[in-house]
Amino acid sequence: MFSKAVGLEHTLLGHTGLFGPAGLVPGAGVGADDLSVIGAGLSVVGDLRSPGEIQVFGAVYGEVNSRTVIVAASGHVEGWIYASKVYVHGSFTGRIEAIEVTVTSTATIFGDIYHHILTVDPNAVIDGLRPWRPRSHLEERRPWHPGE
Amino acid sequence: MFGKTDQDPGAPTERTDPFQSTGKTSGEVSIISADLKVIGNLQSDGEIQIDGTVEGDIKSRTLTVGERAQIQGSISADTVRICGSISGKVDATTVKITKTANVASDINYQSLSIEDGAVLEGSIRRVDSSKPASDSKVSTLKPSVAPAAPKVGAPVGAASRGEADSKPMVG
Repeated sequence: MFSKAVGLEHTLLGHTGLFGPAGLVPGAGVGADDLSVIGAGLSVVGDLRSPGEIQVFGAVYGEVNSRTVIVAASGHVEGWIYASKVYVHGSFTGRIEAIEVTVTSTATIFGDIYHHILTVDPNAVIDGLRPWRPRSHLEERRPWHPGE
Repeated sequence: MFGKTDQDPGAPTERTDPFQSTGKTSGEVSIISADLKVIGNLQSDGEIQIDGTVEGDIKSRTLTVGERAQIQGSISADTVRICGSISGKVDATTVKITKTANVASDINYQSLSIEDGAVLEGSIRRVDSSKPASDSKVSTLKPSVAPAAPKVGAPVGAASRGEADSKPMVG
């Protein structure tokens, strides 16, 4: 089963170093401290906090607080996202506060995007406000760190 | 963070690429990494690997609790492999507890293995049934309240226990 995960690593990240040559070793830790994946079958009701990266292929209902958040095409997030970078390919409802926000053509967003840099691909659906904010303003809101 | 991917010349554009696919390759396994903290419940019909902290209940088909993981809340799954610290109820068909595990839980199991060196406190009960106690159909989890996620203080151990007791007893 874990060979699948190795494949995932390739497709997802385009490089192999992340999990190490052994791939995902159960119990040994994945070796990538800063990448979390909410898989396609997973629903999280609650908050996610990480100083690293979170990729959402499944569903999250709650607050996501991380350095980088990626909502994949199959992903759905409902709630708030605080991050320094956010990539939305899937659907999002709620409020995003991030320095850099990228919305691709497959995305559907209902809610406001507080940003410093916003990139929107053609065909993306955004129903909401897109207020610009100075970088410092957004940085203050930025991620939680461990030990907090 | 994406600088890493950029090093690979063959890698397609960083942001569009793998996340577009809804196919099976993407996001099949869920990983809660070591620095991630989840306050709330997780429910999956697939596989979850947890290396971080979870305060809340977990329902999954297959669950691996990594060495660095800390879980406070009840776990129900078909297969659980525990290498880290957990406290809360465990309901699973197959439970494997490795030597690095620190378990303070009541465990309901059908098949159990405990490695030499594991720390285990709590009651252990074999559920003699063709179905695991946790085998309620995994449905998509929906929030009971709006996005403002519940700050989970106490895991809903009592609720899930009642459910577990009432279900598989027939037969």
